Amino acid sequence: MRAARYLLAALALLATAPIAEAGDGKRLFDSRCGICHAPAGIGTMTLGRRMASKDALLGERRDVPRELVLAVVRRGIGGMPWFTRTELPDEQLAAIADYLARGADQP
Amino acid sequence: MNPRPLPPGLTQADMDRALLAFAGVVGRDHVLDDELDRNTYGDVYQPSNETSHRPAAAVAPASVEEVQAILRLANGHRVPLWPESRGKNLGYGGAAPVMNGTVVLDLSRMNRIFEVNAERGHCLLEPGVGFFQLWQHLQDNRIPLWITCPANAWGSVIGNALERGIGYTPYGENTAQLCGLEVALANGELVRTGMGAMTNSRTWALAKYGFGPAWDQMFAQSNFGVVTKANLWLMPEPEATLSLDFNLPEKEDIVWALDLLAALRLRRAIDSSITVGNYMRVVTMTSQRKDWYDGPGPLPEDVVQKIKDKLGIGWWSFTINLFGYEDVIRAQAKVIRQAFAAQLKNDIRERSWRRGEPLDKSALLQPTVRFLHVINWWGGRGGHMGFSPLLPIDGRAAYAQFEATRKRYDEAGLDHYGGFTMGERYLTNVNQIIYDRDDPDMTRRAHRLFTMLIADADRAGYSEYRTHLSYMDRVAATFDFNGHALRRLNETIKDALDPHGILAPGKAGIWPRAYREQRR
Repeated sequence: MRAARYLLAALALLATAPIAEAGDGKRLFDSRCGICHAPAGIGTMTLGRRMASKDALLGERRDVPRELVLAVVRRGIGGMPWFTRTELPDEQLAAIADYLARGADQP
Repeated sequence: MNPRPLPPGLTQADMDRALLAFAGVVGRDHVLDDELDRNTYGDVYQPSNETSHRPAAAVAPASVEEVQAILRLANGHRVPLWPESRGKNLGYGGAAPVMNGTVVLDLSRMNRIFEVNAERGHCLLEPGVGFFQLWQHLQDNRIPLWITCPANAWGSVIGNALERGIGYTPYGENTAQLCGLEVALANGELVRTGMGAMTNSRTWALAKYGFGPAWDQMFAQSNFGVVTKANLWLMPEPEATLSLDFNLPEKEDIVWALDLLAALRLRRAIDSSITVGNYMRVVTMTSQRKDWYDGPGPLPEDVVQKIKDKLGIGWWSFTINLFGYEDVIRAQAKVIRQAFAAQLKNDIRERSWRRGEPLDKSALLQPTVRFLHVINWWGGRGGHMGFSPLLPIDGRAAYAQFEATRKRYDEAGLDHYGGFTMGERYLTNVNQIIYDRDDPDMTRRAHRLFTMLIADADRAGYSEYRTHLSYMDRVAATFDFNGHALRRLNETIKDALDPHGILAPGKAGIWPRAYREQRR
């Protein structure tokens, strides 16, 4: 019984972990991606040509596919250059991708 | 999976051993050796074929000691290295090396700001410090010094100064603000230049030349050492700024306007860099070509007129920015207005800022990457390169060069983005070549255009101040006085300092003995 309680506690901790990461992801997104993806940035302006302005502001989105973020950041897309693993290490990129996809699995 | 590119004479096993040795210095996480890593250290705007300028891998040291250790290992393993500060030399090759198989020495983890001296106006930086980082540091610590940003501020402050980048304040010739470097030579030995050669120097960041030969510029645009620290002079925050916006309606107007600006610049009534740019400089910032015209070839005249009318700009536009004591810059503005009064038919728009007001109102260009929007001009995966010969500040000569260049763009079916950035006694004639990398034919035309412009300029007595990796040999070849005596000097120094040729083979057309047959 005690073991079960510990297990539940551990699961609860795991469940909260993504929230902590999402906070980290937001900070990282703002600091590393905000140069272009803030409201007046060229990334936002470029995306704004292809989609509604509310969707062009990536930081407000909750449904950007995680795998898409990983691929675009490492391979570039359109006018966006790629990022090396030195400039944006894998774990930071993962946190940013989790943040942008934070609502993707919710109904 | 593609095989890892290799430098001449090395096997995959040789490279494996070298990278393992590098990992012993920096840790495995900082040796970047997979296919995706190689792509990310390539040239994001590659204008020539995609099999050139391919690195074997990258290694990212975090300290001077690690740089020295890697240099020693590279000598032992005969592995060439391509030092880069932050890899954002966009339009000139990004992080990529000239020679395939070179290992990128990525210095972006070395991003410490050691000192900022507000009273004396200087800072001591590592090469990984970017313009955004330095500006944030000054703002966060309320240090009343300003930085001089280039159009693309994503890159390194020191890297930009070493590549002779241009900014838009009285400190705009960034390389002239360097004052003493710390350099790791190819053999790993550490040298400090200028007054910093004294162990206990108190004037390293203040006096440029030291005693005896002065070496700072020897390490700019060269492959003679790895700059690990540099002092840079920063401009004190002025009391006020004043900006005068000009529009010149017709393309011929640059003849008289440049002559007039030359006289004002020479007498220092104007004391910062000015860029006189054509309508493309404005229209590419906010729109795409298809918003105006969807046909082939260069933009027709009626479309150009429509752009000018709609945006309310002339054929050329420019801004004169003045920084300093309010009384002084008001007097400068008066002199400038008087000089233009006889010939300028339209109004000069004036904007002013006083210390304490929001900085966005000032003449300072704060760090931004918005100018990179040019690459979206055609749609697709864009690219740009600058062909930038140096000219005298002479209206007729500049106009002749402009017309000859524009004709070449027309023949290539590309839109001419041209401008003249003014130093004290010369013009940097920046011609952006914008292309869509998803259109192989257009990319080939852009490449051919670049090679023709080098040859045309050479015949006219001009050459570039800086160039993309793919054209370094061609541009270096135009510096041919006395049977290429400068090349012999450069290569004599190269071979003496770097006998195994491990540092940036081919940089600025300087090839070490070990790879000299790679020159194109």
